[in-house]
Amino acid sequence: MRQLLMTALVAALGAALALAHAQAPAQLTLLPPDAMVQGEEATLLATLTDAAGEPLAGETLTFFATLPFFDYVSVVEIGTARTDFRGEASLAYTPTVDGARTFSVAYAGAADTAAATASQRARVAEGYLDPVSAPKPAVLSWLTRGRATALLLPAILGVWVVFGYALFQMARISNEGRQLAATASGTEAGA
Amino acid sequence: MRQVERDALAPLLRRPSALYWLVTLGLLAVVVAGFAAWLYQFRNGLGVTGLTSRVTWGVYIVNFIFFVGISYAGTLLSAVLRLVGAEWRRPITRVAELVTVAALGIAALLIFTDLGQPLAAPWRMLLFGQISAPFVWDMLVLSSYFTGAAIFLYLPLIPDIARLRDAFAGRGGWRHRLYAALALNWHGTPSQERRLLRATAVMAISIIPLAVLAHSVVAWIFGVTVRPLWNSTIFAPYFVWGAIFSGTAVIIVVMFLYRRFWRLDAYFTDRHFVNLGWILLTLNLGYMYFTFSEYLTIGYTVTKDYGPVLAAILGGQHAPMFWFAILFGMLLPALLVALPWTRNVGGITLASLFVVVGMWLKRWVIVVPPQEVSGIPVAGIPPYMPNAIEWILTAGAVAGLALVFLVFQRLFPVIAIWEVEHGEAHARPAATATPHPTGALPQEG
Repeated sequence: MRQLLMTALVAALGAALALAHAQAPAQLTLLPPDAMVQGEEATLLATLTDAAGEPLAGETLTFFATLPFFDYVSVVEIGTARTDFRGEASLAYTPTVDGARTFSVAYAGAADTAAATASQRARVAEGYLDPVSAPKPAVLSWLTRGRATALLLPAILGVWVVFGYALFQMARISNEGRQLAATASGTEAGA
Repeated sequence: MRQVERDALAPLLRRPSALYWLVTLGLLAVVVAGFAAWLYQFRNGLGVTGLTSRVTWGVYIVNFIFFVGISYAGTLLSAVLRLVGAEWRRPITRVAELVTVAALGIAALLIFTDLGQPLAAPWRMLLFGQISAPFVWDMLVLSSYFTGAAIFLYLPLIPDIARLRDAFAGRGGWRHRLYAALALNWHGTPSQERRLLRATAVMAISIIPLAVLAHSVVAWIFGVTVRPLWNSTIFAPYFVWGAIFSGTAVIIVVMFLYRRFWRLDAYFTDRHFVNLGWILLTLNLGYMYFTFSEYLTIGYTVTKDYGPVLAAILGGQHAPMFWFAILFGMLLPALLVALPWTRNVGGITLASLFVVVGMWLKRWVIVVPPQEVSGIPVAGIPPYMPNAIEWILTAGAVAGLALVFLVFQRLFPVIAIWEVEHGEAHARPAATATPHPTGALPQEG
């Protein structure tokens, strides 16, 4: 529902802009790949033509995708591409979230050409994600994974060793003071 | 009893004035109001704030960076001055170290104000945090830094606490028990002194790289994101430098207040203010250089991502904050310190106040515009403006910091008596050095 509303909103915006400026309409189509798999690169192909079907070359198209997060769906920009002499622009995209997704492409328009948008729904099949980006319980993995670990953890451990040394000295100070007090009270009792 | 001991302990031994209670209760009321605002936000969610789906890091994160920043200079300055043997540092080290611990403690609490689920976040971070995430680095480094700064504050306090233990020996009560527990059986023997000096020196050496790392990590939280103006290679040194700059200004302001209201002119002398003023000026010039370099580089090769953000900062809706930070947070303080006829306690403190306000605004400029201007051009999202909840929480944080200073000076001496005496003993020939005084102190009232 949210994706449909978003698509309708973008389309209405494009139409309103076109009417307002009385520019020549442009036609934009989006062809998502047949099969998209989570964690695997796919290519989104968009074609931009004028009203007569002639390709519009050298124009910038912006691609968007819906990104579900629990009960919420947000729309994120996933990249831009320029149209070639056939009016085609392609974008390589690696989906990180599986499930039903909506992909959109937007053309901002030019002085004599109206803005245009196109959307396609696609299903992203569950696939394998790189462990670095996969949210998994990670406490133990700190010791074995990640280049940052190699630098950060020894540095922090080194600092805590120094803290330990300072605490050790504090304990010795306390012990010496206690012994001194015990000796003094023993001397007083003896006297 | 020496003069320094008498002067430093006097505020602890006499009854607080009505003004003290009035100010303390006023600050406490603001802190309670801040806590109530947080409870309201906790019950109703972050939607009650002015945060939007575009600007999710608003004034709370500005406050967090600001407080981490001002925490940074205290321990660092104290450690560096200690290591280079700057004798003039001795009376001011306690205030510097206190600023670190107090501001860092408040900063840690401020993180919770920005979390939608503050109760679940800590254990989730421990269970699910990835070591490759800068937030995890932040948690590790800041907790280590806070621990180190607290130890560094506590170590030179031990001999002074022992004096308080002895002063309250005949009175009993909770204060005597507190001081007896914290004094670690200190009697000032040569062996105890040696151990204390050794531990302090080791902590001073280790705290410097830790302090640099602490604020670098905060900078990398921004720097490693692909967002205009955040994705900058100089962010870590830029943040570190800015942190020392704002922290030094806060130390000067706190020293001024202690000097003014507890009559500590003999210890927080004009010379301390002028010396710190020179440090502030050096840091100011360095920060101006960083700022100029950052904006020149971005502005000269302005791209489609950076252009709108830069326009919003230099001439758009965020321009007042940016130009106030430049003109009143950097240029004016530089003049106030550089010109001989304003290079005095009042002028340097005024310069520091401007720096504090200017650096808060500079943090706003760093945090908010890149979120607000870049990203998907979706219409209908209003510009971010913090609402009453966020301002009350901010006021609560500032009041909390001031309250820590007020409460601390009622419990512990703000002048490092042991350090001052130690400096005097080293300055005198060994034959005339007097034994460490732990005798009776003046009675209350």
